Amino acid sequence: MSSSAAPWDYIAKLVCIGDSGCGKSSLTIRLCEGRFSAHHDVTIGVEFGSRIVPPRRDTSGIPQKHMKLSLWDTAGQETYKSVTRSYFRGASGALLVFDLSRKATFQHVTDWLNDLRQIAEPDIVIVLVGNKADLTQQEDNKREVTREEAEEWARRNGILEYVETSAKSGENVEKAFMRVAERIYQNIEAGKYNLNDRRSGVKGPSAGGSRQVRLNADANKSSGGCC
Amino acid sequence: MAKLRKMVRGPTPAALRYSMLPPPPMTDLEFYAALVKDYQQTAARLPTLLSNKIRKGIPPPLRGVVWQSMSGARDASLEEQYERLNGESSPYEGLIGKDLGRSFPGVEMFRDPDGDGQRMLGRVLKTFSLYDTKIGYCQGLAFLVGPLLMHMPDKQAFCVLVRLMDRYDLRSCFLPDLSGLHVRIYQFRELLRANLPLLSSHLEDLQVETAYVSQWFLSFFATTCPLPMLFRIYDVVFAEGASETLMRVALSLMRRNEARLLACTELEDVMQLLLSRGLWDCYHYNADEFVQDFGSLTGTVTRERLAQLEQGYRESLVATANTARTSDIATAAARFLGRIWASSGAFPRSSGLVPGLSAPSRPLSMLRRSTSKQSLASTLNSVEASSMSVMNDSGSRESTPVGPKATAAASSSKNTEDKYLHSQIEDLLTALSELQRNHALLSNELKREREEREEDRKAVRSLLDGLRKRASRGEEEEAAAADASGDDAEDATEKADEGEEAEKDGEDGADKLSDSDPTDAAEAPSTEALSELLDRVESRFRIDEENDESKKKDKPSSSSSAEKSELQRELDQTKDQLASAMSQNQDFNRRIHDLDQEMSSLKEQLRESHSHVRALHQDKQRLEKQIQVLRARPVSGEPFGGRESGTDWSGKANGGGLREFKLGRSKSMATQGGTYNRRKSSLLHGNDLSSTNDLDTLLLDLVQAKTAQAIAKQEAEEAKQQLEALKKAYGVVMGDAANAALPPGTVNVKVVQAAATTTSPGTGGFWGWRR
Repeated sequence: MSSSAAPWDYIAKLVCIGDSGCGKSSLTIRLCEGRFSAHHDVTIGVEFGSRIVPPRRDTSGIPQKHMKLSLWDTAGQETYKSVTRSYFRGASGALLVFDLSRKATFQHVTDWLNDLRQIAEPDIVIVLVGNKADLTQQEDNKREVTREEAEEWARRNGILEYVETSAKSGENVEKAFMRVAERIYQNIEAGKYNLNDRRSGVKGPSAGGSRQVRLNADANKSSGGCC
Repeated sequence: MAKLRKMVRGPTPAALRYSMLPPPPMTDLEFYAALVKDYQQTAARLPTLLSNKIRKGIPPPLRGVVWQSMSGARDASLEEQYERLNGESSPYEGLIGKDLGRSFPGVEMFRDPDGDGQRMLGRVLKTFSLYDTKIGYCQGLAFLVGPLLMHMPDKQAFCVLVRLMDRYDLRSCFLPDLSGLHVRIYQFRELLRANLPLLSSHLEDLQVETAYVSQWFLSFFATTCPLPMLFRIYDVVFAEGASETLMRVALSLMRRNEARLLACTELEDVMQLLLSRGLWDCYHYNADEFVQDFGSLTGTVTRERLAQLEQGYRESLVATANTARTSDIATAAARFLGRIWASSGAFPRSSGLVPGLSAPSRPLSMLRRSTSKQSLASTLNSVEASSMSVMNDSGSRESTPVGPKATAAASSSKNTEDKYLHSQIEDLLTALSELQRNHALLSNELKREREEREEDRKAVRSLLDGLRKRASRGEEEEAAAADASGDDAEDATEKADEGEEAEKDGEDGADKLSDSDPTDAAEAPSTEALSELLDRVESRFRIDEENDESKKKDKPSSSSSAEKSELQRELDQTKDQLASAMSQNQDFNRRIHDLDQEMSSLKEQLRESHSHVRALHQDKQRLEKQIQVLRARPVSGEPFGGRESGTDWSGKANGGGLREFKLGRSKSMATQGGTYNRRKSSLLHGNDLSSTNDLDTLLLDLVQAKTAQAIAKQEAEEAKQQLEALKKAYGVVMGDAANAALPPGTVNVKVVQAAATTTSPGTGGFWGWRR
């Protein structure tokens, strides 16, 4: 793979949405930079990060290819919806984040989901993320949302999975993103996206006029090497 | 600490320059004194000098005061409001509190959650949310308040913030609908397209959403811009206006980074660059270069151009709304009907939202759409199952649904159905609002039609009256009347037909048709009865008509109403033109007046500068004398200014803050008394600011005090360093010699301190030593 021009086979667009202060930026930073940042700027409009997810065998034994997750971390304040919503378009995956220690953020998850469903692609892969799990593991348990009710909500709303994470400790953060990535990969395999059109949510190696031939050759080479 | 590190790491010569200089030279001080005293006047008199000075950067010690003056924030009533609102509680407190630690987290002043910085920031934001309830709190405001608080206390920062909002046209950017921001985004896109077409099309090719500029415009670039450059942006913003300056900065950033951006082949790379600090690397931390760069766009990005673009934006909004209105109805209706048809087919029992709805009844298309839900149903049981269903899924998308999967889907069918009903309701609502909008439009049209009809009717009636009067004269005239009215009736029906065509809604059209019917019906019988006479009468009638008075002739003609309205329109137009011409005339008059004033003020200015030059000359002579005197005394003043810069910051970081320092400074002030007083007097003298007003002199004092304070700080810093250097030197020289070496050392240190403050000739030795 290293010989190839781009170190990825697909780019998938993911959005991080949820109320202000749930830890969307922290999750993104944790995933993209592998650290916890207690002091990062308030997100105004949108922030951006990316990470290439290594190939990983799913249970069916088919090796995946390198996938670049482009993460769009959006502002949580209601005011910014008119700006952030434009970023929902063309997203193939979404992390719907709430704060385990604040019930209200969980209650607003429904609104966020409605927004998402209205604008994003119908096939968008969504994972519900209850963040700040570290606060529930302390002596004074700050948990205000139970795992059961979150799971129940996810089930009722057609969400792929519910994951409890801690951006602080890093617990389950990889898992949450990987679940989305895996499912997107399966969708790619199933031919759900138009890989030449970024707006479908995933961009494939064959996209982009002049580079097409070269990249195709690379892709073939790499896939040959993998199998 | 971070501040220091930043300064060490980044060579920031431009930012350091001001504090390295000895206090701003006399003329600068005078200039800023005048600026602080009366910004409006100074700005009006010395526009180019002002622009040049400001673009070179306001000396850091003066920044806070000058910003306040430039924004006109010295307002007792505002300050009073701040005091009053300060105590009240705001609904935004929770949100604000969450953001305090996330605004300028890299700046020492705002790092401590219990520190002054965050406390003041919280107070200003909370008070502002109470002051401007329409905005309340908008994330991003903290980034505006932060730089203000780095230069002034909270009350003043609040006043400046308020002024920024209302006088610098920023308020719309922070209103809940962010309308101003959307205007900025549009303006930016258009300007980019016009000025950097290559880059613009490149970004469009990569499908980069222009919304990335939102954090630039809402935070004044504070999220990524290095502080020394950020302050320079503020300097220019206060002097030249926010929207122009910010747009210039944005465009110059794009221009500077054009090559790098063009080299990006992926959307991700572009976004990464645009939203990172790396965007500013192109200026190499050279703030002067930066200001010069965006200043060069002054001719490209003008207030007029921005206003023009804003107009364009509003027009495009209206245009899209209009086209949307005409097409929306059709699409909404189609979608709505489609839903109904689809759902009636898909859910034969859609009224019963029972979970047990049997899966087989769901059509193929539904299954396809809900694949993720299928897998959800199974993932809830176990991961293995999920992967199973996933495998199945991929199959299902290619072929028809299979039995076992359908059962899995059954449990989620209710969800899908719910969702479908929801979206159906949404569609219905949009269709309804669409219809309502159309209805409003139509009823407007209807009203207009009715008015026209009314006028027609009036015309016909008056005609009839006239004819009736003449009816006694003979049969032929009667026939003529019938003819005319018949014509009119026909005309009326024709109009009604037109109206109908204009309608998209059949019902409303019919309504109007029936509305105009009575006229038709009323006239019709007479037409029928007299139709046979028409041909015969027509020729005579025409002649008759020609003989008639012009008024009567006009009325029966079908075009009369149209003509009238046209005339009316023309009249209106002429009136408008007249009005605009008048206002233009007034404008010209005003301009002439202004120019006259300007001329006189220029004359005055000239005279003043003459006297100023004279005064300066005198000053110069005096200074030369002074220099000679000073030369006579071996003073080592040079090294003073030339070294440290971080004092300004460290002073604040120490928690002491400016004001406390001022209190402790009196000693050095006293020792400086000689030069200081002289400076003051020359200032007043040179500027002709006869200090009648106490406040003005106070302000001047403040400015001077601040300068003196900066000097004092530097001196203090110097002294400290010398102390340390001496300590070290002693440590090195004396080594472990003995404790006996210590007393002389301390004595020497004392001497150094004394030297630093009194600038006594004795220090020369130590300086040399240090070198």
